[in-house]
Amino acid sequence: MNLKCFAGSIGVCLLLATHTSGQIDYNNIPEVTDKIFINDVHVQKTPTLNIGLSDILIENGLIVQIGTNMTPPVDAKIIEADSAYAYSGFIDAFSHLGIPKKEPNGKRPEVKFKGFPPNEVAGITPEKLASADLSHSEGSIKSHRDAGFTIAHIVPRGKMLPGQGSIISLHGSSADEMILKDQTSTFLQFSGARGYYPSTVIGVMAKWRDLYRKAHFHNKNLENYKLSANGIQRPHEDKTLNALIPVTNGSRPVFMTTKKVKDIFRAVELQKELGYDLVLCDVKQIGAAQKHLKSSKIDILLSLDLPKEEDKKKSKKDSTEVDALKKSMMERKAKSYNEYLTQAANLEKANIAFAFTMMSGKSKDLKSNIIKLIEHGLSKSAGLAALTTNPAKILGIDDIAGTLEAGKLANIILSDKPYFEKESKLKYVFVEGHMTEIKQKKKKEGKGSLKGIKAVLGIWSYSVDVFGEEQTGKMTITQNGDDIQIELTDDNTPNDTDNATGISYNDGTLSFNVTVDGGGQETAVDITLDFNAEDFSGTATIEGMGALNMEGSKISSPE
Amino acid sequence: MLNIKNIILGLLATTCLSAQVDMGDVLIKNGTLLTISDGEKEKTDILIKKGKISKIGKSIKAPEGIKTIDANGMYVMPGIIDAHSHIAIDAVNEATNPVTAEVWVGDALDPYDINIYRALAGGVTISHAMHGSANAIGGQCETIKHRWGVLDPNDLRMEGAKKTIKFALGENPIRVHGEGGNIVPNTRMGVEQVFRNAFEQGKAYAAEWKAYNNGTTKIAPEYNIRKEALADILSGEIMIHCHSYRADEILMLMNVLTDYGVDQICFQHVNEGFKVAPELAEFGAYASVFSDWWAYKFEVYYSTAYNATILSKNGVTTSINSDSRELIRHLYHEAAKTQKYGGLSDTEALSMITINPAKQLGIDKRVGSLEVNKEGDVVIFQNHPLSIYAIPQYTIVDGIVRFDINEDPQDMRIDIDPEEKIPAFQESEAGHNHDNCLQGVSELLFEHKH
Repeated sequence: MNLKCFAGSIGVCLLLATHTSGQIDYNNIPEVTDKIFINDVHVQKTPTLNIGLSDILIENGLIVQIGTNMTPPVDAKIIEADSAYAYSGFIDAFSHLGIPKKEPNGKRPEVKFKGFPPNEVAGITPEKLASADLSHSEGSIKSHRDAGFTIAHIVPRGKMLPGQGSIISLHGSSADEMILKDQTSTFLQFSGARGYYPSTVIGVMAKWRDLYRKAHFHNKNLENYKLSANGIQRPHEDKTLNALIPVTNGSRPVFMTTKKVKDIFRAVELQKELGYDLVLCDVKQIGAAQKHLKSSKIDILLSLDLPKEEDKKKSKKDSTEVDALKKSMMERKAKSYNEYLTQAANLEKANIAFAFTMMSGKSKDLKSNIIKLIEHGLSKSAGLAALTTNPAKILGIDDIAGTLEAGKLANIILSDKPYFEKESKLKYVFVEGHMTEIKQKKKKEGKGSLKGIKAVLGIWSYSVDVFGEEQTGKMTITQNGDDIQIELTDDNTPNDTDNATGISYNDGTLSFNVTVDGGGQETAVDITLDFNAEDFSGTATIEGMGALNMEGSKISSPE
Repeated sequence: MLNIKNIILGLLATTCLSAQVDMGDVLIKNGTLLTISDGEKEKTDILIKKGKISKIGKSIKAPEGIKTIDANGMYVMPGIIDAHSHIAIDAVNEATNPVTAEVWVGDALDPYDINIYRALAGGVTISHAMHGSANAIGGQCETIKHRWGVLDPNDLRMEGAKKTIKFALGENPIRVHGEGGNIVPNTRMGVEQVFRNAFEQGKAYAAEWKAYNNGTTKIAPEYNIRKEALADILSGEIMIHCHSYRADEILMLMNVLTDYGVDQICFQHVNEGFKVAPELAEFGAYASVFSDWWAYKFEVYYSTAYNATILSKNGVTTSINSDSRELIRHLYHEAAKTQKYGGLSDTEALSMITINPAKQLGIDKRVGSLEVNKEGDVVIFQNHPLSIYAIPQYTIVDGIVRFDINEDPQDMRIDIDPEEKIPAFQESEAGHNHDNCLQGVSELLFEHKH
């Protein structure tokens, strides 16, 4: 053991050495060693197989060996896991992670005839790549990784056919470095082009049939022309149809957003008619459509954005006054809630493999939401499979990800207790061997959670990067007796102040929520900031939109 | 367009021919049968087995275990059919183009729409879920059976019903596209031109494929789902149901159809149909009208409650429709108005909501009258359905009781939102002061102004 500690301290010395040489590009500090030795960890090799206390050796981003009583190489960085629990890093099967939301650039494009708009306006851009929009510094990547995700399948933002998906690794100093596999899926939605053709679900469905069949014939014509061009009218290139050819010939699956049961039925009708491989995405309600899910050509990705449960205390108080009808409606609502939460367990019972997706929902609720599903009958192993082996299989990366096995990517999470225990906390996340230590924010525990908050009292300036546009303002943190108040005032609207709720502070990390007016709709924003003496940095997470980078510096301390 | 269909058959996996829909058995005893096709039969039984009428007669013995309804003192008639409705669909208008022949409301069926149940409570077993009237050539429609309780949208379809498409004349397409988008049609003449242009395209498309299929040309024409549908209209595979009010336009469309060899059409609303009833009869056109509703916009002022009677007496197969989720609950009252205004017989009046709409939807061999071998769609009334005191007691679809007034709890919804606000029943009930054919269009118009 001493030997290992020694090796560890060499690492620290080397690290210090690089720091002494004057001007340092902090973004490009090379890691000291690409060997990591995780000592003494309970290894959950697959969702169903725990091989007990073992060691894991990582090299060049891959798992090299898993075994007991292994000797660490002398040049390995050693992680003392203290009997923590190791799992294969989670895979988000469907998200917009790392893809900034585009602010509409003022005016809409000039469209002569709303019935025949350019493809860009119609939302038909199947040639676009998610990888082209990927920004490695986007704040949501970090919060996803902190929740245990190491790989994500990302799709572009847009309407009917936003483009093609990519599978990315949640580490890298450039978008290119993050891409594991590109052009892995075609993303299709029932979203109309508001005011332009196709504008409704029936328009979108007809247009999809049209495009699909056009692409089929287009491909046939191109192939015939390749065989013999002489005397044959030249088929024109068409980037939209070209991009759909892999779907029509079965080499690329369609990922389709199908939140509700009717969406699933519609998506399945189209699939049966046209015949491609289909993945149902961001599914919140399966209902009677479950009968279709046994098909070998259809996979399903369940949303972890669970319905909110009725406040039981509140409804109890009401129930003394309500009439019979209202009471029975409340019961039906509770039953419906229960049905939604039992869906995952029902899929497991029916032997239908599914994966979870974070397209909607917050990564910080990941575990608590899966625990809710477990309380409604889902097994822990099925819950784990839905985050690891199943998405790996659905995405076609099960040769490199999904389990802890030699030869696979070193995507590992370490949890201090078994992951699905309520009190468990993630300690480390490794993405292809790159280690992130997770700083645990303590949850609010009465007043104790504000301990030490005096250090950050005062007035601070802040700026938030809202999709490329910088918003600045002042944040005032004051203490009045036991009460802490945080006020945020945007520089553009100095008369409009947002007050924080749910404030907690632990060891330099301040968390709170504000509710802001997002264009007539109240939107909850979760803010987490890490403070130094004179500045802070962190994220502001908006439900359904992802995390925005936020930073600031001190203006004044309290008198 | 059979040839095209054959070519693309390779990539079209066979859509499964109708999921197995439940069929029921029921014996209705001692009712007064209003058969429509064979007069009234007092104290007569009707036996439905596996969803079909298997026997009509006196003292039919109940097969073992069969559900029996005592209809003594009640009236038994075929399920009511509404030839114009927009219930149970999630989208009505793809209002972005004057021609959208390729869209199909059957893609967006909603089996959880409570209006299906409410229609059953009014004795309606079948409705024609139509695209709206925003476009001169709107989308394709779907004839549905009101199988309230099914969870799969496909189970609403009345498989084998005639394929239909919505056309629209007059103010609606002019307002949406002419005034709204400054394109053709901006006038009633423009509407005619939209039809002619579209038919020319469909004709040319069919010819291109024919030439390709018989080897005259080597390059496959560009597939086009819209032209595909237009060609199917010209070939008679899809039947037109046209939103219409004014007599001059009705004549115009019949002339256009004559030019293109289309001999089937059902005019919808057709408020001025009484002016051109002989011409409609000569063409063989159908008419589906309101009983006594008009003046909700300029082109609908010249109207009469005698419209249905006049059309009918001139030999036009006429039905009375609802175009409304409210009116659909009392179509039997609407039919009764033809007795007040025109003195039609009971059978003539009831035909307006049974066998006549069945003819217009191409399903008259299967439903619309009480006959052996027809489908078991039946409604049982307390009091004569043409009486102001009529109250539907049971509504039966395919031999299954889908509405029973004795088992009619307040909350009949199927799909419950786990986050709904309670009470949730206070949905705004659209008043019947405009036609419902322009649903979903206001956003488009609104957007254009900005």
